[in-house]
Amino acid sequence: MSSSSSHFSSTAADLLAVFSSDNKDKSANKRISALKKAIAGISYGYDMSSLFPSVISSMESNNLELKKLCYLYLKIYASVKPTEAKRAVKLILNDIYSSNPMIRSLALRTLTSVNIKNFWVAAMDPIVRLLDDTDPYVRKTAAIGIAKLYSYDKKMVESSGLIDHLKEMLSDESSVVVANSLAALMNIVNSSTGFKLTFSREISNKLVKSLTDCSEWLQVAILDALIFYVPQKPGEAESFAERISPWLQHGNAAVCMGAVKVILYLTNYMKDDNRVKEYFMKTQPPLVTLLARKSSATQYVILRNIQIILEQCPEMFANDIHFFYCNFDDPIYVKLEKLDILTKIADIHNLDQILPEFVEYASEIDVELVRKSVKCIGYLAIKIEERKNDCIDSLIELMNTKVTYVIQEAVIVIRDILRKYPGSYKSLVPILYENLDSLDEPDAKSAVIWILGQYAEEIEDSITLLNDYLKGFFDEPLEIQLTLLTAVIKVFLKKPTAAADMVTNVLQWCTDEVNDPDLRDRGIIYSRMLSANPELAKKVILANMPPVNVGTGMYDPDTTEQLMLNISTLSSIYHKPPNRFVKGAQVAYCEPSPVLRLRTRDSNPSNTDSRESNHKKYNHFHQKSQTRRVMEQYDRNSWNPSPFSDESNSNTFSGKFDSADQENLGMPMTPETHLMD
Amino acid sequence: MISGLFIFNLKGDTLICKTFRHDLKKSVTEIFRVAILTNTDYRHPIVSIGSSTYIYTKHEDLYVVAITKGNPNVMIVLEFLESLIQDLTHYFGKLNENTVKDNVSFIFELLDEMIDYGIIQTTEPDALARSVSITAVKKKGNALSLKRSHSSQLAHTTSSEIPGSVPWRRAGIKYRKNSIYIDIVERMNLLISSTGNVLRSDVSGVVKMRAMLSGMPECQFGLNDKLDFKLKQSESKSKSNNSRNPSSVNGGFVILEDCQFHQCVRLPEFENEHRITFIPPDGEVELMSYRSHENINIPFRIVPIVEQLSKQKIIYRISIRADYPHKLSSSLNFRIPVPTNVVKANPRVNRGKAGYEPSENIINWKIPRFLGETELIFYAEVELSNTTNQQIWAKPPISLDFNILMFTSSGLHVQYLRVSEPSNSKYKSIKWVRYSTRAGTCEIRI
Repeated sequence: MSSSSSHFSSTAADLLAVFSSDNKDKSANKRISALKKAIAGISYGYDMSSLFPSVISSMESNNLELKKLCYLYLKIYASVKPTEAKRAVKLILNDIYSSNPMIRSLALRTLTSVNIKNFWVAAMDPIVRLLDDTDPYVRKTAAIGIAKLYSYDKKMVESSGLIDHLKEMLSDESSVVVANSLAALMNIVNSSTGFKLTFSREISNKLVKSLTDCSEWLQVAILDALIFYVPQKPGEAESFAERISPWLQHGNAAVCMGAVKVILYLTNYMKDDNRVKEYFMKTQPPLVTLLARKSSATQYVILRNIQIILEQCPEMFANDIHFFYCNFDDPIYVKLEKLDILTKIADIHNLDQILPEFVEYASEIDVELVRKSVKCIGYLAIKIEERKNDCIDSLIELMNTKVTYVIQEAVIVIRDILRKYPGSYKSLVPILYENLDSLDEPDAKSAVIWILGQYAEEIEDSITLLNDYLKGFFDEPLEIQLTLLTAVIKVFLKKPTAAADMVTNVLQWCTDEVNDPDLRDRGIIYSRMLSANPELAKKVILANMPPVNVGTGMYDPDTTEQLMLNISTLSSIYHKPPNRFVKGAQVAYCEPSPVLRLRTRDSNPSNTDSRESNHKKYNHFHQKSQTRRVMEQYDRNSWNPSPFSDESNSNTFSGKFDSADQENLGMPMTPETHLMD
Repeated sequence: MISGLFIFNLKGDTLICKTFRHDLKKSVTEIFRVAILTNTDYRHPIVSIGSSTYIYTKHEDLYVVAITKGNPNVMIVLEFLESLIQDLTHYFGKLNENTVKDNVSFIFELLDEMIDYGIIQTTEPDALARSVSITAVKKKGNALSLKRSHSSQLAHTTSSEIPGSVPWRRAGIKYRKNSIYIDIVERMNLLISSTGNVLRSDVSGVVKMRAMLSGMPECQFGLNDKLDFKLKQSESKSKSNNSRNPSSVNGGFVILEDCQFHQCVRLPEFENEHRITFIPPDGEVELMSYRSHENINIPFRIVPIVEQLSKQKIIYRISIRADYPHKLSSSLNFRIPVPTNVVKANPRVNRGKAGYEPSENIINWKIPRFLGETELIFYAEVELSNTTNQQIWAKPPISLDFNILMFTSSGLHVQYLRVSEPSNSKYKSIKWVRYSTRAGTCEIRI
């Protein structure tokens, strides 16, 4: 404590006195001590700028430690006092011609680190010269310096030919220089809109050879770059993947994930289906290993990436499901991801193991985990038809615990089950009836109202129950109002006499009293349909709905492809292509090549366009207010200020359910709640 | 790709503020304090606000935070934060607010050598020692020494060794007696259901090595392992599945699902020839880690019975049998959860000591020496008070902690370890090997 307090007690004036003493070498230690205190003071927010002239004078010292401290100070204060800082340029240029490569490197690094035009203009010539330095450490500093200059003045660098020099450094004899030149080049490409990066086979070969000679951190840079190599001939991708495979067993998670990314990228250029699957399976053991050994934050990143990879190889963890079982002490954000993955990999063969896990988690204390587990069980009832009875029995068992949030979540998934298996499971309706008093959340209410409308014949008191909900009609959110309107119309079409008063009231409210244009328009349309042609209205509104489809993946193939090219990055955590959250980011995709695989599960273009169009329309008119995971909250706040953004559904677990109403009436209506929202 | 690296104390005060690029606003430190530290909604340590992403980890009384822009490689940032903490702990003996304040200049210089323009260069102490000139304030005893004589500071340091072909080891190391220590430490993960079924059992093992060897030695390491067929012989897997006879398939080998290595190991040689060859870093390092879940020897057989007889009474009957050789022993610790409204808990055990700990809502059962092939029994009647609010008991699992020396659940053991130095045909070294199996995540649901 005494030593730390001494750091705070020194003032700039005290330190200045040290520099006023004689200039002999024996005072270097005093200056070193003073500068350390000054730098510590800067960190604590004290103003140490009055030392600037003295620091510049000390820069000429031969003492390496003192020189380093001076340069450190200069980098901190140069932007605060640019006029004083400019006096240092000449001194730095002297050091750039020092016989000591350490000093050459240090000087050039300082010159390129200060964002003052005098500094980085002065750095242009030394960089070109030091790219040919005898020492690889100096060459590496020069290479990175080009990327720094590019961040200051793009046009100057582009017109100077420095980028061509940087490309030549990819052929340097030192692997450290190659890796750093590569990182600098990729940095330039990522921050520009005009450049496109492609590596030839020769360069790529050299990069792979460099992997054995670099530090682990530079290995990551090389692996990140190898996805810019586009195989052209049969067998090329396989050959490269084989040479990358050893790095799947590197102990650094970033190196390991880099190898995963490159290998899976290369599978896009392999012909043999079995070979492709073999490489996917080869990446499985290291992913499980990282999951078992690393910190929670790393686990979270890996789990998010595993979900992306499962989009392309769903059977990849068939033998390792227990690694996704939740530990009691896992943080909630890890548990939720594990549940998503267990749901994805569940099938008819492993459900005997997975379903009891979900039942166990649904008995936990954490509300979010419980609700997620209930959702997952409902989802599995739809996904694995052969085992639906087991899942539904589990849901009933959980509802019998009478925990309110369990019941509300169960009602929502039961609505989806009834849609999936029309005509079956009507015995679930009385169970819902018993639990109506527990439902106060909008999603649960919406689900039960839908059920009341859809199964009006089977529910004796459906009209009475709907009237209870209608008492609060004007206070309900729009989503529920729309659902109520549709349900009332359905009941009227099924029980015209008994529901006549109810439908008259509701239609009058919608057409005359509400302000929302969507609700009003729908009311008017229903009213006219019933007046003009009741039989036709019955055909349209009560038509059998298309089946619920949960077989498709979370994302369309284009998005999956982009996410696969961004494994390990922030994009892979938020499951968004980079151009969705980084201004100016380039869209990545697999380059065409004679050996590029055709995607077997591609939708045809017209379907894709149509789906996207509908998707946008939904979100434009009906932004749902739902509880979402925290990540989505700040996700929207950070990047999607518009409340109508179509990103809001990008984290949905399964594809949307189609709506019969929408298709038959040809206009956007309330989309059904997504099962896994 | 790292725009800035910051170290905060628990209140959010800035201790270190190091930027590598010019794309950060001055308010980033305030944003961390206001938007992240005080906001319990942000539950995981990767948070994006505006165009910046904060990636952070907590260590003792510090937050170590990297700030990135664009679409960074998150994994390398997380790994770097861990390595940075390890390195600073090496230099200072202990990394906390006080040692950070004592070494601000040193940390600045260290970060400058580790990262150039956000691009991570190295975290190897030996490589850094040749570049770093500013001296660290050291704790006496176990801190890594960076001592320099006064005269050496005046000499021109040659940088020809800095990014050498062996970045983890410097030349010219000398020991009077060459020795190398190998510790194989396995962590057994167990998940047992309330009916006693083993839901999950696997082993995560590490081979820790401490090398005190002179010169630039070559090491070769052999284990009785065989990588899983999935990795090597996927075509013959169907055949081996059909003829699944454990003794013939495994032939005394240990099947490993996966293994990972320190960067000193030559990965292409391992991939192609299954040889573990390396030039070891000086000092202690984690040479290899591995994972196994086939043919694991689960060292304990546990039968938990927890019965709630009434609202006021729970009975526990737990038996555990040691399934390892009789001559071995384990220290053992059971943490048996009880509800919050316990009035009285009277555990009875046939060995060790068990006591109720109200502050943690557990009964702690400690057994210093549990001999192999013997059995332990725990019995307890727990009386509960009447609570008006009738809260649901979370029922955490029973957790188990143990340490069995000279035993590996996977059966892995060292077959050979050769140490040679190319320039010295008479090179001699002493080799030590130890084994232990400890508890990883061991949960018994009730």
